[in-house]
Amino acid sequence: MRKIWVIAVREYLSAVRSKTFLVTILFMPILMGASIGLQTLFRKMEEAKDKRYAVIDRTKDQKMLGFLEAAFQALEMEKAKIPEIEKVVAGKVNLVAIPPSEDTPEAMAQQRFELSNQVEAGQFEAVIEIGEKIYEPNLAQLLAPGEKLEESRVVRFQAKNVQAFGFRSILGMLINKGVQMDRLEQKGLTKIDIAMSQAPVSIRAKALTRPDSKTGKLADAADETPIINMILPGALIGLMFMVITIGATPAMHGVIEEKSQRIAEVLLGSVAPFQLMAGKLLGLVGVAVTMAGVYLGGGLYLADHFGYYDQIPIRVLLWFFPMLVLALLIFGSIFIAVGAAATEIKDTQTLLMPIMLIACLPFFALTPIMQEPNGTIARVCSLIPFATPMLLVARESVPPGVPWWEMTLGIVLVLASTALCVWVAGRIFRIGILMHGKPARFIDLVRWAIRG
Amino acid sequence: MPYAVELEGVRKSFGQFVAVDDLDLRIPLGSVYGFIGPNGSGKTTTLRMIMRIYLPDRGKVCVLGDSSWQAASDRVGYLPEERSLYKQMKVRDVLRFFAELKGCRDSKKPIETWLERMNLAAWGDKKVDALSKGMAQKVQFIATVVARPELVILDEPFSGLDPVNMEVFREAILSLRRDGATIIFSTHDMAVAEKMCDAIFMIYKGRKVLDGTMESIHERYDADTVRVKLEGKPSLEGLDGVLQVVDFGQYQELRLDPTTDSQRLLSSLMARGPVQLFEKTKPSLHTIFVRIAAPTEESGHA
Repeated sequence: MRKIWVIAVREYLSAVRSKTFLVTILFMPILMGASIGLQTLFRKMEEAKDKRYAVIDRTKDQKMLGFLEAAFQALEMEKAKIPEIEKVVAGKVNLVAIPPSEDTPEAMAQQRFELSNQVEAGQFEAVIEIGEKIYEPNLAQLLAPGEKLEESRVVRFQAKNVQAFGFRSILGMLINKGVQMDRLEQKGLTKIDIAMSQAPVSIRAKALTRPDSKTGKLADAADETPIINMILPGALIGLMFMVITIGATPAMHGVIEEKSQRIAEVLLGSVAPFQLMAGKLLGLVGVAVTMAGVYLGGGLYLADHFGYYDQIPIRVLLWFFPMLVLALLIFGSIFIAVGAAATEIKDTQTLLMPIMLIACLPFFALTPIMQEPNGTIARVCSLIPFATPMLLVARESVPPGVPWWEMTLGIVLVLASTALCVWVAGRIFRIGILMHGKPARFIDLVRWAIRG
Repeated sequence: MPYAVELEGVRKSFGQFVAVDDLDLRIPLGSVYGFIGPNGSGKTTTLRMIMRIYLPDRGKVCVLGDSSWQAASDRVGYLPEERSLYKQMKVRDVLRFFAELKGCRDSKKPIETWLERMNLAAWGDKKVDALSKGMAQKVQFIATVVARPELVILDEPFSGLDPVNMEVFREAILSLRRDGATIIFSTHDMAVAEKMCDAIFMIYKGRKVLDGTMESIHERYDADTVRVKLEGKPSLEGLDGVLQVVDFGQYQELRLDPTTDSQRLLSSLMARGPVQLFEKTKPSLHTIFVRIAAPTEESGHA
């Protein structure tokens, strides 16, 4: 055990001190800082700039313009209470009233052209042209919804690029609200009646109700937190996969280097092949866990910064690390064995291919798994040992989590396969590490694994 | 007599190729044992079996009284033929690493002593990458012996060394023996083997062909060799009773038929020219090696 430890410490230190590792580790804070910095910068820029919109209101008495001005002012007040609005409508909205041109096609075209030029010159964000007849209920529209409406019944929105999706949807919402209120008032309803009849009913997404594992009482299911639910499983799988690849590949290359530079036999004079492999595996686990820790820490900091911290189930992170270690043992032992069987780095590709194809099979079903984390596909795939650690963590991150018996079965299967993988890899390693000359084929690996 | 290494009926094959066959060998404690043999004859395979890097197909291997097939013993130091060290590590770090692998926790003092002895003290904080080939070889040697092993196995320790470094190595190996270690080394340099070894083991085509002390080996060979030097270096072909002539440039060695009368040979030589040297001698280790391993005599070895 002491020899395994000595090897592991050397592997760990040499990996952690390498430039590649530093670059990968530094990449995270840089990315993190850049993302926060850019966002703040953009927000600052947006805030600094009031947004001017040219509004041509052809309705009687410019009724809609008056309503919109009041509505956007109200929205500006709301921003203080609900910061999310800022993400949709950034900056203060200034509506600039433009007297409508004469009602002839030529005059209207001329006015639109002039205003378009001003938008082009950056004086306005967009031109909003409110049709004359938008307040009139239109029966034809109800009877034939697909029909193209005449210009006087629509609101035109002209901009340099017609993105501004957030602003457009808010604008549409407000205009429709104004029109509907006006129509209802025409029917004799008071503003309060209208507001009360339009009060929205919200839909609360909940996970399934399950008895509490300790008390047995029916516990209320956790609130679904859609954003986290969408991001977290994928993020955890991605992180695990990335850390495994970044951690295991240098270990594999290290073995090839030791072989080609004839360090391997010097080491084998002091340690048994299995100890050498186990030490390398342990070192690799250390490197990968360090990296995952840094990344996860960074991720938590980001989540905290953007206000999602409370939604992250910390329990899932506690599952993440043991599962990561298991995944590292499985994939790491395979990578190391392949390194031992190869004579050059390019040999590893042909050797890894069949193994990784089998290993990655469950990931081809990732989309259905993410859509339905407790569906049949997800449950079957998470019992395939190569995928178990990643899928169990991903599924555990979404309420109600993985049933205990599935978790236990998964862990038992992973432990058994980890032991098998390490054992098989040890046999391949023992023979491969002293083989020089022609690279081993996949079939040789199978033969070494069986015969030893 | 206690032995450092005992091999009994050991056989090792790779696929169809038998690398070592039916090998018995006993290496006494405290001796310097030389392994000789042509390339590919089975020296390295034998050493690797002693190191338990290879398991024999058959037979028994016992090292320092231990015949279990577990981890390489901390009591054995091994310098393989094909060797290198981590290039990016500093000399002292790499030596500490190998000492720790052998279970030597307090390695500071032996590392410094050895660096001093090998004239490498100034290079201790340099990366292995920065060392010359000879210096790297010395560092590898230190890595092998820094944990004070009882048995030291050196595969071709002298290959590629200049005469000065060779002397340093020779002295270092003998100092290990003085400290009580048993030393096995393989070499192609017969003169070194003859000078340094208490006993020689020769393997050829996977089988033992010579084994014993230098004296016992020489005893097995009659004084069937005559070393001669003639003025003007005339051709020595066609002399009666001479089986083989080997020209060393400055002198020639004649291998005689056992029935040849040396006095008659001398007179035949004098007939060819003035004789400056005529010395009846036993064959050197080099000659014995060539006799056993020369392609023309392949079937004639013991």
